[in-house]
Amino acid sequence: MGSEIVSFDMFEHQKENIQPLLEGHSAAALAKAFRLEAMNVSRDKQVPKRDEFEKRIEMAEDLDDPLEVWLEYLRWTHETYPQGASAESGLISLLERCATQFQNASHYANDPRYIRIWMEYIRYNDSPSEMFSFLMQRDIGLRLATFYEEYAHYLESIGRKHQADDVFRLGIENEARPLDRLRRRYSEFLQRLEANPPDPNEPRSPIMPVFRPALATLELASVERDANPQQQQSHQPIQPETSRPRAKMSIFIDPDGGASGPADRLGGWESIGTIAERRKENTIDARPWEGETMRMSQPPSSATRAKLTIFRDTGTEVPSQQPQFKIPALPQHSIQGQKVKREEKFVANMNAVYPEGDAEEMSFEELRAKARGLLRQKSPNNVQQSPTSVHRVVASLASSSTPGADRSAVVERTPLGSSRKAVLTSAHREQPPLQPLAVQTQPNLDSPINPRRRPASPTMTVHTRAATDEIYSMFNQPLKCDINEVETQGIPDSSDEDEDDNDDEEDDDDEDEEDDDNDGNGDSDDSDEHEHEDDNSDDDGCQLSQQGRVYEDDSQVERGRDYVIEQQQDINANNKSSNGVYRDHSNDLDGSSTASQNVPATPHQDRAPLVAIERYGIAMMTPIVEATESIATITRSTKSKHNKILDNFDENVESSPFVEHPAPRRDDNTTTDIKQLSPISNDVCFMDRTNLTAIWTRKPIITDLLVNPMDESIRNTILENVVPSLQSYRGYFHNTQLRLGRSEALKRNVKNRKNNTSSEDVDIELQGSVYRLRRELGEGAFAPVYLFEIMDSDESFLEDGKSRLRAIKMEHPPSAWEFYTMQEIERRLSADADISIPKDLRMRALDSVIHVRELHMFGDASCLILDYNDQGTILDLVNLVKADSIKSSSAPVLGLDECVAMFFTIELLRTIEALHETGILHGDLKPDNCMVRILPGNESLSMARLSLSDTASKRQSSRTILSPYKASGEQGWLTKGISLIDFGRAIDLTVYDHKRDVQFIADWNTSAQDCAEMRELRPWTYQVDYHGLASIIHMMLFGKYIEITTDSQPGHGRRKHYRITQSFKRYWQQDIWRELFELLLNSVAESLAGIPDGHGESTTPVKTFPITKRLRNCRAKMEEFLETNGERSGMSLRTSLQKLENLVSAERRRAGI
Amino acid sequence: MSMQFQLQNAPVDIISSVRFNPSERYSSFLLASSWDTTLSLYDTSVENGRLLTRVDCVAPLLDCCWDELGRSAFIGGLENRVRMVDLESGRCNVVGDHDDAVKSVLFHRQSGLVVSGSWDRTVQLLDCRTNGRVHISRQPHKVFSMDMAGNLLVVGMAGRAVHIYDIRHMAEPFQRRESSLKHMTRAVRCIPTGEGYASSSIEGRIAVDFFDASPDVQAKKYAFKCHRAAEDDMDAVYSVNALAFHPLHGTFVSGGSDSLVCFWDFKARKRLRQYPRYPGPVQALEIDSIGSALAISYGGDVEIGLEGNTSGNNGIVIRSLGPGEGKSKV
Repeated sequence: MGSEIVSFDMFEHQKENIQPLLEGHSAAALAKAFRLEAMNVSRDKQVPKRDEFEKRIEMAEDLDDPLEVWLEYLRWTHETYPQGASAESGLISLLERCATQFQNASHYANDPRYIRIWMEYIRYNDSPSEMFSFLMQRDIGLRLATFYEEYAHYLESIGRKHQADDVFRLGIENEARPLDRLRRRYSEFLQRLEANPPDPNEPRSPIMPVFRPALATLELASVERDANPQQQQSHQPIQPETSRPRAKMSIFIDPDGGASGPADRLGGWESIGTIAERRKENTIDARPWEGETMRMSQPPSSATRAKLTIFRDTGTEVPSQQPQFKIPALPQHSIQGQKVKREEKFVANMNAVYPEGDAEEMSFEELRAKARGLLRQKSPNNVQQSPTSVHRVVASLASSSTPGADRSAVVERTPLGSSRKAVLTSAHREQPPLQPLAVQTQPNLDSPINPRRRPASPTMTVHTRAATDEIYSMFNQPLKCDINEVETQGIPDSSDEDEDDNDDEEDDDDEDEEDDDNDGNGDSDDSDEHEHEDDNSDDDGCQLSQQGRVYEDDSQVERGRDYVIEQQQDINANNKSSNGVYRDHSNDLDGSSTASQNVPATPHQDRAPLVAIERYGIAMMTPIVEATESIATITRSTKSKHNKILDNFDENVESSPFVEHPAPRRDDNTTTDIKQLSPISNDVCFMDRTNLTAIWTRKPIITDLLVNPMDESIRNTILENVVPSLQSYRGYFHNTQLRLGRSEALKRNVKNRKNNTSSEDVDIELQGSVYRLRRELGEGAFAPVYLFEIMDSDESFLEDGKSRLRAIKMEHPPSAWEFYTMQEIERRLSADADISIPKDLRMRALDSVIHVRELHMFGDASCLILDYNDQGTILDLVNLVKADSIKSSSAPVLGLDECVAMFFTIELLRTIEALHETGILHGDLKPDNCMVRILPGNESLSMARLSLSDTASKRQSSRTILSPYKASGEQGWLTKGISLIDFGRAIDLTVYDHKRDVQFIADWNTSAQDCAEMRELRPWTYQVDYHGLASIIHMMLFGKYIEITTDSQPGHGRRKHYRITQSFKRYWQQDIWRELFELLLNSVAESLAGIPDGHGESTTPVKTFPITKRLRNCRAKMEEFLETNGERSGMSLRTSLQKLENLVSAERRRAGI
Repeated sequence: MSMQFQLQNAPVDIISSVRFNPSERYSSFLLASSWDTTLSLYDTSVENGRLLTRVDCVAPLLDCCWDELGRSAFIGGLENRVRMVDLESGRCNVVGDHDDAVKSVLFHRQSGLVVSGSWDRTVQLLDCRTNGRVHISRQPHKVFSMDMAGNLLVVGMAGRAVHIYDIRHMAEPFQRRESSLKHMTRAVRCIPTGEGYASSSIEGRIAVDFFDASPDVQAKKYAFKCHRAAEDDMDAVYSVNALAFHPLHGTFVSGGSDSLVCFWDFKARKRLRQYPRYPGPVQALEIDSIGSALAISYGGDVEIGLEGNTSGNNGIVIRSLGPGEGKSKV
């Protein structure tokens, strides 16, 4: 072929790509082929050659030996495409065409060349055994040894040695040429067989399939085959015996029996078909996609299938069972085709919708109802009861409560009731066609004890499990009310059996042995109070009102209650104002009668439990902490000078502390001794109950889980139930029989001063100190704040002796709330016991809260005496900076310097952190409720308050800032900071059921400055302060009121995501600020961030709430930043602060203070 | 462009149902039942709406409907009762009693009967004139949604069951079907022409089915995906809470928990338009009888958490529909 000598190197590296051929390859041809390939000559060059062959094949019919052309074609293909079969070479199709072309040509049937083509073709085929069978069937190659050798070789290779043996023998029997070679191969095979005996289990089916028409006589065939295995090896198909009748079963026989003749002759196998044909299942005809439906297949995973029936669009097949979700499994849809189906995520809580077990699916409405505790209530028996009867019930209930009833009951506040306040107060509420039914969240036990409690009118009785549990737990407590009930029960009261959580605490307050009979607990009847003697009634009123909360069985009763309470409160107010709760001045107080004083000022560590035992004959479940702590160390001997009360209070009920003349009208002779009237000496109670752990673990006074914290009745209940009582607080003066009056005079005077029409001074005398009005600090309809100067006072009373100025907040009507919370803050922060907050942190927090001095309760108003901070609020500061910048330059600067803002932010965060740790929410944080203290001279507050020697020295040592920022407060940094004011909306969490995640509802009109929860009428707790913090920080940074927006995609996640509309300046510490605002505005979401979603229905946010820790981290970051970068170029905290100081002092001078 | 406005004085809790007055004259009067237990009547013809009356009931309401004349309303809810509310006097009488919450109330004009479906697995026919129960029909599952077209009543239930009744022969269902959707039925609404009904599920899908049982009509039924949002590599599947047909054009709107409302042409199988996102999950939809306004009530927490809070973000938006709006474009 090739004249030149071909080097093997030319295709050495291609040898793996050469398909071995029986006859071998021509080296020259290979070299040529690979040279062409190496030259990257496209195989298209071969097309003309190929066409030529095709043309020749077409004309080959006329040739004597048409096969020759094919063989040439094949040889060429082999040479050109040494790689063998490929799409390019078209070898397979060529073989196929050739093989099928001549399959009916008898003269080629035993042509070795033709058989070789078949053999090659079979090598490329998927099912060689079938092909061999076909050839046998068609009598092709049966005279050639090659066929038998190949067939046997194939069978041997797949482990069918018996069959291979059969093939050899068949070939020898058929005397295939060359017979000698075949025999030789057979003997070689037998040797191999001996060396490697066949597996006895290997299939022994005949090499030649037995052809048999459908439904022919199977038995016969198998019998024959078994009897004569030799015959079945014959390539002749067994003739079916179609006509054999069967006795038992009539076999269908094609009437045209002869039709199967030709098929039989050919064994029903006319053509083996092409490879492509045989693969047709694997190919898809190209069709237009339009109008096609994408079939969705079952997911392959059986694990998910078991739980979840997958939707199929056909809609015809329907799962027999409810789809059930154990896990919110994602349906693994898949579309046949190239596009992969996206995973789906149910936004709904599928766990809840498809509860586990056999329970029926729950619609969203049911879940909502369930969450509200409204699901599956029994329909009341009395169906046709018209709503008007509700009215009657209410009326009768209201009338049944006698005027003497002094009890103030606090009605359960419910989510519905609270949030619907606006609705309830609207006009059509007046004549509601249907009485609104405030639905209770945690009420309602069908009492097994008292059937009277069953509702008489159609009501909804709500059973939540939690409520039931709670109520059962209440019943499990000793029924200490029994005695009282028997003794005092006048008329049946629907609430008789109700237990009160506060009973335990109340015992601590019930010191009055003489009043045992009347000593109401929460369950005694409303009407019994008026029977008591007068001098006790005050006391009772006071104490009974502490009973506070009554569990109502049904809401009708509750609603009735509502009215009752309103009346009662009026009565209470009357009683108090006319009699004076604290006016036991008529009593001759001697040693013996002190015991009966309601003043909880008796030393009786062990008395309270004793009394309880005496009284009820049963051991009480008294919180030990409370019993021992509250009054344990009280000594009555301590007497402080400022605890004096004017004697003439008794004589002149309408007298006023206003001093008509500038000169104080104070007469030491007329003051009564502290022993008689002062509620408690200050030092003692100050030391008490300072254990924060105890505060957190004491029993809640308010057990509602959803409360309006501003509600008067709630507040009163708290104030009346706090232990120790409010009266024991230092600086609390209760003179409700006295009217302050003259608030008009104050206003007028202030007005006159403004108009510079100076009038005479207005003085007010409170507890021996005369205060002179200076000016008005803050206006307000209910609580104006005035600046007073102490004119004449015992110098020792002015503890630090520094400032004679006091801010006095006049509240109409009187309220002790702010005083209470501020005192509690001081008390808890200065507590010396083991609490989680470091002492240093507490002290600094204490410095950052304005100091409360005294509270004077009058009949018509209250005076809250506070320290005066003259440095203005954050709001003032921002305005000052703005005004200053306008003055000095044209462009107004909005906001404070970043470092200053950060400094105040740290102060704020620290303060709020401490407050929250002690269980107090400020509730009304805003820029104008946050004073700054940056001027020197105000630093010693906490030293006066706390004699904490170790740090006091540190403080004293540095009154001016000596160094760059120190987070620890050293080097004078303690003296700078903030001072929170206005605790009028503060919330003492510890009196609520914080363990069960009490939440609050605001009923006031909200503004943009209120937190998102309030604005959206959702319950809140700490969020109020977080939002307040954010608003203050926002004001400092941007000089604007905070504006909050939600991300535009409400469906994005579970909760809305809030953010401020302003964007941080480029050079700010954006990361820190962003994180801070993120935390503050999305506190709940942030607290849930680590918790997987959809974890059952009760995703109560409070578990990881409050986010105090994370805020602490945030603060630490800021402190670190200020310490390291506080004095870098471009910003200097000290310089900035100094600038502010100058501004503030200048402003102070301007204001003439 | 069409205009839309928020109704003032909207109920403060989730609005379970909004219904326009069926009469042409008062077609702008809208009833809204809410979980805050109130039934409110608004005049939506004035800008921002006017609250005409509000009736405070004893328990959260799940559905409301008008009577024939549009003078009274029927309400059902967690009180387990069906009440008739005289909207002029505010008086309301109990006309039906169930053992569980009443999820759906309908008024059948031709017979003057009230049809109420409840979670107690019954559908009742009530005659408010006699305060009597005409018929009680036991269902295999809790009733979740019902609608009527002519005399055919479609009851969508739990367990994906859908029963179709001829209201004149309530003894036996006219047809018993299984929902074409694989998940819980959320709403069913009948095609105004009475040829079939649309149903939606919690799984972002709407099916259109036909009453005619003949195979070639049944072949027309189909379901399609909607109210889904691509989130990263996943589709967030929202519940389709509400459906409402356009009385004139025969198209319908759907509202989902994704706070979106879409107009669909079920014949052309096309979406006609999608409105901008509303402030909260869409709870109820209704188009008035003259096809001039669409009421959308939104609110409530997204149904994921279901902590049952009384979310404040509730409201009703009235969207006035232009003459061609919602008209099939084919």
